[in-house]
Amino acid sequence: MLSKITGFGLDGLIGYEATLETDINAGLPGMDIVGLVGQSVKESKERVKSAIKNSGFDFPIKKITVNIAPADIKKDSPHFDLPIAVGILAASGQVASGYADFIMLGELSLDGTVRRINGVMPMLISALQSGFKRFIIPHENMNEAAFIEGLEIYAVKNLTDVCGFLNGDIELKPIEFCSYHSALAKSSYNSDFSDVKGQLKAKRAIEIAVSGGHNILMIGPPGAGKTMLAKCIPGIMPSMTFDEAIEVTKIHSVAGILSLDDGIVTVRPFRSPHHTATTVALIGGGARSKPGEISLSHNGVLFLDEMPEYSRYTLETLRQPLEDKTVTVSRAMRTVEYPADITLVASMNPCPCGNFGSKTQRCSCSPFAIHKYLNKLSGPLLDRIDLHVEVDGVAFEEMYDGKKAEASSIIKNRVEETREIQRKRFENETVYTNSSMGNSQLSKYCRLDASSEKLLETAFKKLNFTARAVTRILKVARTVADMEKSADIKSDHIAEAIQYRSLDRKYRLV
Amino acid sequence: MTNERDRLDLLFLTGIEGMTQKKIVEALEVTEASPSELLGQIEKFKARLLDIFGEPLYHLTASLNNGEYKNGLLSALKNEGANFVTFLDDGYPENLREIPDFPIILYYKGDAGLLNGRLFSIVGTRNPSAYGRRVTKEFAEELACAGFVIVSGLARGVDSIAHRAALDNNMPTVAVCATGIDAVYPAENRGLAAEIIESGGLIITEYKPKTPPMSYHFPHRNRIISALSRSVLVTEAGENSGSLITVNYAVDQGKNVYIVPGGIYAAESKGANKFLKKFQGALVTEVNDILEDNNLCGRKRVNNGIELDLIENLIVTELEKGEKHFDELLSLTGLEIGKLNAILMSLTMIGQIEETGNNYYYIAK
Repeated sequence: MLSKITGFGLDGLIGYEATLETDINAGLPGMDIVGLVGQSVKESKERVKSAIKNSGFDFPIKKITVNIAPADIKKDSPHFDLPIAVGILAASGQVASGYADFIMLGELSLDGTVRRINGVMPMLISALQSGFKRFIIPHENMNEAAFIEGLEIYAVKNLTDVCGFLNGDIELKPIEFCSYHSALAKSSYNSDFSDVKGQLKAKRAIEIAVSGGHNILMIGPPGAGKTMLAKCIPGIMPSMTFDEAIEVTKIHSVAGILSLDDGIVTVRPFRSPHHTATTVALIGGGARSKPGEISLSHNGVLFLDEMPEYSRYTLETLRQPLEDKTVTVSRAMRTVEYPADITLVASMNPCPCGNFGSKTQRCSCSPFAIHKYLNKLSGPLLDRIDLHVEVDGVAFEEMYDGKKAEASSIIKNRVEETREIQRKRFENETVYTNSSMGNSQLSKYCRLDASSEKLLETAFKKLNFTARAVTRILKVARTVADMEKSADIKSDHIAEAIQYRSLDRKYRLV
Repeated sequence: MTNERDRLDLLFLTGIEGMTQKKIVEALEVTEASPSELLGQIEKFKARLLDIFGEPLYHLTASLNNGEYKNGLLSALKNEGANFVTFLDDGYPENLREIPDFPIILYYKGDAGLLNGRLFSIVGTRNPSAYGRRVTKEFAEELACAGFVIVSGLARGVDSIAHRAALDNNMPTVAVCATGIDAVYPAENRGLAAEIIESGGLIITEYKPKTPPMSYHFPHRNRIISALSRSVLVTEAGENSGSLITVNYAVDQGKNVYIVPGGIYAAESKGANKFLKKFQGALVTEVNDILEDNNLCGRKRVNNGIELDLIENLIVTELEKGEKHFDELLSLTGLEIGKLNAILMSLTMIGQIEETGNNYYYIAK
């Protein structure tokens, strides 16, 4: 007999319809799965066989052929276990015909339990767009599926339940829809700026960076609190919209790092890969074209601690995604595009030993070593970082003065106001924040009065700025002006923006 | 007066392998006869060379007559835009003729006229502390603005900072290299060397083109640094700093030596402090000490006619009492962070204050 079941596969973040045909015929007993399947689907037959037997069904001792179409896309995910098992049961007449209405996703355990799978959210969204409505998914993935409206989703625990449900013996209730706002209201960030003492200058720079969507580089000795500051950054970014949250959840779901309890990502991601991270780990790729850290931190913060310690090549690969806000991972078998709209937060020591410029510690680095250290960051990469700020150790009195610093929620409110100004400004443009302004927008929105122009010119000459640095200054000055709700860029705004180009000024080798 | 042939002969002699400066100097017996007496005695000089070198002179004269070798050396100089001056020439700095082991030839690039100006040598460690950097910058700037041409060795650290300080104030500076005129050591100073030439400065060396930097060149080169000017300033020097060799040369040559003291625990200042014990008169703690010694008065604080407002005045007054951290200034002025940032930046731009890094500010001298 022949059975036909609709399944779903995943190519990057896009799901595709996959038809599973199961044919049971007389012949030498055995089972074959065809259709360009990978190792994990090939192994599926052992799991399916045991799961069927251990759930009390008969595994047909006949020649079984399973074909997963389309045969030109590589399928390498265990979530085809469930439809394969149901297909065999259907072809051998152990399950009634109800199966044809559902899309089934799930990995099987040898005892018949349906296990959690990765990528439920993107598959459900793609299936919804293709017009499918009814699904059977693993119980563990329930929370993730609850946020998609307009679907009839049944969460199952084991193969017996699935068959009982399809045969009409067991009644199952579809998952209840869960609104994003209720989840958002429950979300909270671990790190809060109220716990960071002092560091007023750094906090100001961070607020500017977040307000205008700029990337930021913190320079300071070890132990100055750079990492702590960075961890607080997601907490002052505007709350994610539902669309943003879905994008992030899709990526996290595919990568398998989604929390089972939350189901949807409501807090902006903060990713901090170690500096030994490979290019593939950072950008994405590998045999299965997995998303990299840059995509996992989409809509959030990618924190590169000790930036010059990363391999130069790895850092250089960040340039294109930082510009395009998306990353295309091409491999022999497939080309996948992942979004990568991140705020890059980097930190570094002023020199290899970290004590350059310190008042108390002796720097043991030769100028050449410092030069080499700073040179690890290429000009084009630094050009994508608008603000550099020095972070220094906190004085003893500040740590114990008992006063609470400004809370993240207050800063966040200000940030949201500034973002609103930018949203209105760029209503008819393709950009959203000051940092992504192009040349045409720069000349349109960053006009300077005579005194600011003069200041910038002096800075250009005196501090040896490049033309690129001047562009950065203009963008940051625009954000500073927005924060003060000033329509024009004044000389004070320019002066403050110049302050944040310290790598261009102080660390210039003599 | 020398003729062109004599000049070229000298050039090629110094260019010949194994023909060290020292041998030629010995040949000239400068310890007995002053170079000026030797002027016009070039034929005698050549005869002496024959005595001293005997056999090798055959190769020597062969080399002298070897057109390929001559042209190679001359075109190397031409390509570099460099020139040379021998001790027989008028343009040769008088100061150099007075030292015993003066260089026979100086290769130079840039404005050789600077050598007759008021030169001032600044030397120090290659690895200065924040203190040393600040001292060097401040002294070099003030001295350059007082009309001195800063002389240093184009090395890392203090040398580079001294050259840079002069350039930043649009004053010419002289670099004495320990390599051939067409090489720059360290390589990261290539840009600095180019800027020195562009801004009307001068680079000189006694080594023929294509000479690599050898460790023994550096101490030897130091005698030129000290000999060129009337005074040598050490801004920061560790125990084994090469700048102390310069000080020894300067003492032997009867130059004024100035040394800036450092902390007694600072490794970077050990050498300078040790020498200060020996030459107590060399101690300087401010630029005026040097300027008064030379009957000059210091540069007036340039205000560029900019009137400081109340808050700017407050900041400047506070900083005059000593270095202050950004957060301290914040609580002193009660300003918003952004506003203070802006004010500090504009004060920096008009040259009133400077930042050390690490968010500390101090008054610019």
